[in-house]
Amino acid sequence: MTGREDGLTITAVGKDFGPVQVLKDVSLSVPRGEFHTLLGPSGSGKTTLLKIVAGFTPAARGSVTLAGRVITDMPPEHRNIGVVFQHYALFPHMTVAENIGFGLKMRGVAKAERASRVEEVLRLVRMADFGQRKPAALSGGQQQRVALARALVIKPQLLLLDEPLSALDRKVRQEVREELKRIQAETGVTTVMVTHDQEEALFLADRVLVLEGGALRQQGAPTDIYSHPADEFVAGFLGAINLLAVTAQGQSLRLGNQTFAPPAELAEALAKANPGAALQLAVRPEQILVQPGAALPGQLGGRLIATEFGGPVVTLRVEVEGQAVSVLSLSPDVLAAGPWEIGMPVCLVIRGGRLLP
Amino acid sequence: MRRSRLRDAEALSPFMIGMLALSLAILFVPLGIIILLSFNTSPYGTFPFQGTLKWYGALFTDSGLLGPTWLSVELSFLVAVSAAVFGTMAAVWLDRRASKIAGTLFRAALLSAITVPWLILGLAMLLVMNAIGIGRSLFAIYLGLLATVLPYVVFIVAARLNALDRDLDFAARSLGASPIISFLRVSAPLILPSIISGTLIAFMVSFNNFLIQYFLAPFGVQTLPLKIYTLIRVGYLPDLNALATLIVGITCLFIAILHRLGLRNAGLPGGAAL
Ligand SMILES: Nc1ncnc2c1ncn2[C@@H]1O[C@H](COP(=O)(O)OP(=O)(O)OP(=O)(O)O)[C@@H](O)[C@H]1O
Ligand SMILES: [Mg+2]
Repeated sequence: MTGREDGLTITAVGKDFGPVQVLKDVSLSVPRGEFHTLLGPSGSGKTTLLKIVAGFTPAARGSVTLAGRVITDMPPEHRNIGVVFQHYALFPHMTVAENIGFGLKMRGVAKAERASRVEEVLRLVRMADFGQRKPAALSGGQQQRVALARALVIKPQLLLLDEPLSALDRKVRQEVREELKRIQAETGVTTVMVTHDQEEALFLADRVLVLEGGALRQQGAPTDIYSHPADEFVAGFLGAINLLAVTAQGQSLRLGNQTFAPPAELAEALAKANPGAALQLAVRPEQILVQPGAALPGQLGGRLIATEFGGPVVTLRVEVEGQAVSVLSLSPDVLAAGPWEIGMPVCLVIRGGRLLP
Repeated sequence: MRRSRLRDAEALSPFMIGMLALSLAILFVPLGIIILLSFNTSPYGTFPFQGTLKWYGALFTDSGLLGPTWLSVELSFLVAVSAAVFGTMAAVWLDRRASKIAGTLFRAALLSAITVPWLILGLAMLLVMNAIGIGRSLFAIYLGLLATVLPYVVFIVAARLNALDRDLDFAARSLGASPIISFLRVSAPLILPSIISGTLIAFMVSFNNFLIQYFLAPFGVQTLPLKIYTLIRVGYLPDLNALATLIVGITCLFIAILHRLGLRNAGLPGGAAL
């Protein structure tokens, strides 16, 4: 059996609330053992899609297959899917151990085995000493670890997480995020996690799925999707990006009155473009090099407008032919190349990017 | 509830505090007098005060009060327990299953059962009971009281259910619990305090409700409120004071329990009925 058949497959799933089409025939597949993140802005339908997979809400159209079984109409209690919720959803009247043991109890696992499996999974999430506490006596990060343990102890075929880290404060979020990655790798459980934090999505995932307005905009490996966004929306959603209006001119690009050499990775796309066609060059701030001084042939010349110190990195704002360009560099590099004065001429080298129609 | 009202009052004018003290006095001074008189030897409420427990003795031996009291207790117990069962079911339906329109209509119906004067309700119920052939009977009182107290249970339990995180149910389901098991193991324990609160209030409202009982009681059947009503017209002995004192004591106990169960947060519409 291939990994693909073992994992999760969603085929043309749609959902409406009244006249609003919240999911527009979404198809995707998650091979067994992979970690996918579902990224999208608020209201894009992430939770709705997850609820359909978990069985909490019915799909209007389409089908869901898990490990070769069609589960579209199966009640959630028969699906064997572990779910972790944004606000933990621990049972407040049960101890940590009882919370975790709940799923095993439902499966008729005998008491002794239950206790040992609860202990084992508590060790996995590094909460071994907390079994007898009530959830209310735990911090947010600890509660979310318990929730993760509760979802994992049933050895689910799929783990779903809906913004599991967003209720935690920044430092704890980092910690739990790393734990989550380690635990997923250790258990090898097929995982889909919803988030609207792009950094989180890129850090955790084998693949990132970008959802917007109920439709999948792009899916791919984090590096791929970050460096090669399919459209303006994805480009902007994954982090700061410059969108420069350019025209194709043979193997060069033209920006206003200047002609410059595009990065090598664009050669193929440029060859296909019509000469003179108006295009957008999407380039991330850290894909641009900046130096003081006038432009050499093949470079872009501009004027420094502002410098923004951000600790380890500095953002330089440059105006090129009336267009604003952000450049991000490591602080030591910027300091070594200085001094910088507002209004001085600078030259830019574009080292990467993507052409959007 | 009362404590926070007092705290608000501190920020108000002396006039407001005076009014508050006066209304509390109107409420509690007569109660105090009844309690005092239940321990006084004179049957006519005259002084000097001479302590005695003989009215309590009389209450439990040769007064005619014990029969009606037990009838009222039994009836109200039955009503309260039925209200707990049906009210909880209705609250679950209202919170989890009802469509928007059905839910709103049901709420409006329950609210009107609280707000329409019992005088009107009692009269209407008598007409209906006669029309459907039940007539004046113990069963009619049971039905009438049940309808009267049901809204309290439904509103208290539904408010608690509504405050429950819906994801708790989803979590239980994903872990393998059927809807019924999920309700019994997760939701029910969490709403139990509100069910108990609702049941206690249902008991008190039912126990107290003179008008419904008056309209629906068959001739010759006397619940405690009906008995007291007749006694008041022909004159009564301080054994009634003794009974009243006991009832006040039990009510205080109920209120203590309600307080412990956090009724303050239950969001009961028309909570003043307490
Ligand atoms: N029960 C519902 N009834 C009506 N509309 C709903 C319901 N649930 C969700 N919606 C709508 O469906 C759309 C998608 O909601 P969903 O919760 O899936 O978004 P999301 O991507 O999870 O957003 P967020 O990041 O804010 O959690 C939203 O426009 C929302 O208003
Ligand atoms: Mg959501």
